[in-house]
Amino acid sequence: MRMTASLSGRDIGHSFADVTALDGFDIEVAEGRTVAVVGPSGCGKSTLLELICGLRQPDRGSIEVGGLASARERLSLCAYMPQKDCLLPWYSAIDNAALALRNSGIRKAAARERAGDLFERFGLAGFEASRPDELSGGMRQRVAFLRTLLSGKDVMLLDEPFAALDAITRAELQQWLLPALADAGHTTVLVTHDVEEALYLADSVLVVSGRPGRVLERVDSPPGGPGPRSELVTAPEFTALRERILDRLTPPAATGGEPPG
Amino acid sequence: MNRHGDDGGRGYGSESGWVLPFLLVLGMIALWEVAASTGFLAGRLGLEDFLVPAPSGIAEVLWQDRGLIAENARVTLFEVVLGFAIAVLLGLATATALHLSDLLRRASYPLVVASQTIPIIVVAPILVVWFGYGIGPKLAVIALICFFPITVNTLDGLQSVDRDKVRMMRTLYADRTRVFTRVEAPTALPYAFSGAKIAVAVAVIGAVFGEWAGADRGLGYLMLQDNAQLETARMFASVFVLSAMAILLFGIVALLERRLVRWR
Repeated sequence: MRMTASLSGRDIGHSFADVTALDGFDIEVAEGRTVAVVGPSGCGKSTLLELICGLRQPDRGSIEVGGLASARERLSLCAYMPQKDCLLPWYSAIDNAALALRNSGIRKAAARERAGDLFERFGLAGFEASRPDELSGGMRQRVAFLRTLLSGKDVMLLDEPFAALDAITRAELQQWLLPALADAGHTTVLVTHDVEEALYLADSVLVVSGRPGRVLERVDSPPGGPGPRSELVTAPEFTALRERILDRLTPPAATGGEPPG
Repeated sequence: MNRHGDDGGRGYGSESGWVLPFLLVLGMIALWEVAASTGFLAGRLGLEDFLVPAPSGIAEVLWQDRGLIAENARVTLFEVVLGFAIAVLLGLATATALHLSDLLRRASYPLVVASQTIPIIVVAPILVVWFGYGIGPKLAVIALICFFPITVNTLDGLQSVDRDKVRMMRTLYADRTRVFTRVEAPTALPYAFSGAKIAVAVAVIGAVFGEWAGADRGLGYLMLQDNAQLETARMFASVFVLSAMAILLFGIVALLERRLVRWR
C-alpha cells in the first residue's frame, strides 16, 4: 500500500462556448477507493477528469485533491490516462511506460529497469523493445496503464480505458485491472459508459445525466468476491443493479438496450 | 510490358518498381541516339551536327574532360551542400521559433510565404554586386530557395502535433522543453524531411543560378563558358552531372529519413 489522497469536488460547473458540459457536479472519493462515473456520451465525463487533474480550471465550484485546490497542485497529484492510449510511436513499449520517470529526470537505464520490473506482472514480458504499432490493442492499453501507474501519483484518473477494445479483450483487461488497482492502493476515478465495467471495477458508481452532466444517483457496487469475473457479473444481485442503472440512463422514450454511447 | 514473362513474375514485386522507368529512360536515350547520330535532329533544326550531340558523344566528352568537369562539379557540390545545410539550420530554427510564439507566427508567417515569391534569378545578380564573386551569393541563393519548403513543412509538422499527447505529457511531469523534444519534434521530423527532400532537389538549380549571376568556377560557370564556345556536348555533360548530383543528394536525405524515422 502507498500513501494516497482523497478527492472531493463540489458543485463543479464548466462550459465550452455555449455548451454546458457539467452543472452542479459533486464527487467524493475516499483514499484508496475507486469511483466509477457512468453516463451517456457527451455528459462531460472526460471534461470532469481534465478538471480534476488540473488540465483545466472549472468555471464554478471547487475541487480538492489531498486537500490541495490549485490546478498546479492537483496536476502534481493526479495521473491521467486519456481515452486514446497516446503511446508515442517513436519510443519502444518500455520507454513509453517509463515516460513519466524520464520526464522527471531519471536516467534512461534506471527508468527502463523500474518499468521492466512491472512488464512481467502486466503480461508484457518480451515486448519491451517492441514499437507501439507492433502491439495488440490490449497490450497498448496495458502499456498506457503502466505509464500512468509509473508516474507514482496518488490519484489515478482513467478515461474509458478499454473503450477501444473488443468485448473479449475488454473483459480480460477488466479482470486484470481489478487486482492491479487494489495492489496499487490508488484513489481512482474511472470514467466509462459500460455499466458492467463500472460495477465490476469500482467501489461505487456515479450515474450521470446527459448534458449538462449532473449526478443522478450514487450506487454502491455489490461486494466483489475472489471468484472469476464471469461469476461475479452474472450474480443476480449484480445484474439487478446493472439493470437498475441502465434504466436510469435510458430516456423514457427509448426502451431496453444499451444506453446511448 | 509483359508481366507474365518467363522470369518468374519478377515484375510484381515492389522492389522492381524502378524497372519500368529505367526501360523508359533507356528507350528515350536510344531514340535520341539514333535521331542525333544520323543527323536527323540537326537537319530538322537546321543546325550543324556538333550542336546536337548524341548521348554517345556526350558520354565521350564526359570521359575526355572528366578532370575539368569533376573539378567544377566539386565546387558546385560544395556550394549546394553548404547552402542546403544553412537552409536546414535556419529553417528548423525559424519553424521552431514560429511554433513557440503565436505572436511571432502571426507577424512573420506571411513574410515567410512572401519570401517565396521573390524571383531568385533576379536577386542573384544583386547579391553578386553586394557580395562579389565569392561563394557568398551562391550560398545565399541556395539557402533562399531551400529555406521555404523546409520551414513551412517543419512548421506544419509542429502545428499538427496531437493535443492529447501533449496533455498526457503534462500530466507526466513534462516541462515545455520535454514536450518539445519528446512529442513535438518527433512529430515534426517526417514533415521536416519532406521539406528537406524538396529543398535538396532544387538546391542544385539554386547553385546554377548563383553561378550564372557571377562566378569564376563551378558547373554553372562551365556551362556559361561552353555555351559561348558552342561546346554543346560538354554542356549536356554538365547537365547530366548536375542531375546526378541532385538525385544523389536526394537519395542521401531519403536514406537518412529511413534511418531516423523508423516508426513510419
